Amino acid sequence: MATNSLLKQYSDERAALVQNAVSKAAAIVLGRRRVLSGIRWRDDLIVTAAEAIGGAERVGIRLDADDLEAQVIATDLTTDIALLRVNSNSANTTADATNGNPARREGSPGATPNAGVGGGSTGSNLAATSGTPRPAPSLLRVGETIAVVGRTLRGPTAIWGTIQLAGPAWSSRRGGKIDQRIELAVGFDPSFEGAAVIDTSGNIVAMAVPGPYHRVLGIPTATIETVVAKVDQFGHLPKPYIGIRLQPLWLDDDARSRLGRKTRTIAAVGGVDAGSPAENAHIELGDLLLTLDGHAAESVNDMARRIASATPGQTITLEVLRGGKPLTVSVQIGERPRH
Amino acid sequence: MTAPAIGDATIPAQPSLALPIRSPPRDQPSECLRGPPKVKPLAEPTGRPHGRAVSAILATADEPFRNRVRERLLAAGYDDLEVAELPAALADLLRETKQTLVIVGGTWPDPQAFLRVAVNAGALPLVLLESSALEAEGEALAMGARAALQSDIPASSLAAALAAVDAGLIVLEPSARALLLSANRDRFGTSPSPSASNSAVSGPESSHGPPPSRGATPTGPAADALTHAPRKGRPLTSRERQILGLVASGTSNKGIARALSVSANTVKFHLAAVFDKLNAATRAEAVAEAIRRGELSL
Repeated sequence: MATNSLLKQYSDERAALVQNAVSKAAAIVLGRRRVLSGIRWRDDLIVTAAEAIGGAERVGIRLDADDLEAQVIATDLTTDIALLRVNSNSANTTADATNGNPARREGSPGATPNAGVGGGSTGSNLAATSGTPRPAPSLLRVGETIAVVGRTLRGPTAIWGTIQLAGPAWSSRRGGKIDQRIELAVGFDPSFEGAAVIDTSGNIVAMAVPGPYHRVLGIPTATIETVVAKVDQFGHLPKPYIGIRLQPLWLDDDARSRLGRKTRTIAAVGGVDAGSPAENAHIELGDLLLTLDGHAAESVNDMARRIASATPGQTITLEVLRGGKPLTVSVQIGERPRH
Repeated sequence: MTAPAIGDATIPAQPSLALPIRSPPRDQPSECLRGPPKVKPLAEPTGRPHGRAVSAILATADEPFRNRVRERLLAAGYDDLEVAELPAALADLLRETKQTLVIVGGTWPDPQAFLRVAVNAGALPLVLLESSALEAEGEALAMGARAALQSDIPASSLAAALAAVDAGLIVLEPSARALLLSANRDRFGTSPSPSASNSAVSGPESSHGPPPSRGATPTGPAADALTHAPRKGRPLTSRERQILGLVASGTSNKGIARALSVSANTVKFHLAAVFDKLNAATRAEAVAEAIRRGELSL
């Protein structure tokens, strides 16, 4: 009779789903007291929350029972995504020395992540041999049941909850473009920061991070994939940059109607960095920004978001007002200097 | 008034000057009121539009008190005092003279109305109290007073206190140490006395006083008044801007340290100042805020 209990079946199924995802859960040790979670995205690649990583360069990692060290290879403050690469053990230093292209083979859950690192191309056929399914590309729906699966030094942790809000793509206040607005109703604690969110098929659908007003946000898998793809392509995460400093100027009614603008403010160029793409494009101090690629440049924030979501190498068209005359400038987006 | 033509080509580098533009309001409209205090040498107080200057405003309705303090201020060299007998008169004076040093006093809670007007106008009020009640000092600080002293202090101490407040410091009696050390925040006036909301206060203030600004409400916890953060809102130094740029590029603290040939602790030290100035708790917040303020390039 007990075997037919629906409640038991329900519980077993939930536990089994979590169990499958546990091999993907990493504990990330930042200090003696701060441990957060991460997602083992590929064999030696861990995804976690950038905000928690702060300015760290190396962190401790625990995967299953193994204590390892990982290098922070990219932090994207705009999307709160950080990528870590697990340093190989002494036995596998040669494999890691080949600039650590993500390994394609998935180790068995109990194995060291670097066992069987083969270098090779940056494939995307991950986790094919693992019990954990591939991340799902589809949009989440409000009301879906999800679990957050993380890890502490005391062992794996999990909590079930609900997709409380599933909105459209949005831009974070820091300028990151995030593919879907996801808010989770779960009992959250700091050790779940950076943990995997799985759906009822066991797919990893998001990373859980704390948001403002004690909300728990989900950073969708698609957004993480975008960051991972950029790091695969460039070896690091290039930050789009054109080299202008902007100041908002307040427009009164007269100036607004004169300029035909809806918004109260206009972004003025308050500085142009030497040798920057903006300087090469002859953007000048005092230029007022009207449009970016045809979209009205509504504010400094709006400009920041649009530039942050661009890709280095891409060319954008800016319409500026200089000396009262509109002028069109093409700027090739560069990369923010890293030293 | 006709605005200058937009196409004024004579000053191409600053076309903004050709537009009828004023600075936009900040997130905290009170920033200019409560931000870093303007440090002005006492010898050169800001003058009125028509040229007359005052060195301080003495604001109290209590005539004997006023006369005593005036004597002492004259002895201390403050010979060009303005006197406000009513809160409304103080509000008008503050608007006219741009003077920030305001001395209010008397028997607590009588000076509260003046104190509130002064704080709302962004002035630096000194409170001189007739009785030595710690509660009154705490409440005055909680309301935004920059000094809470006994009214019988010597002229030299009064002059020193005025100079200190003008320089942005907070001045207390030695006996007020207990206020600072006390863990009991209730003493700091978080629960204002009933008189704090008496009608004599709100009348002149709402009709004549400067518009109350959100950030400058006088009844904040005293902790705010005491842990006054002088760095908030200041511009970044070039080194700080350089470091924040590297933070924005995703560089770790050690990476920044290597790039600039300094120690990681130095980087952390600079970043602490950056966070403080930008009122940010995280790297992402600091970067976003610096971009908003035009301190960091896009």
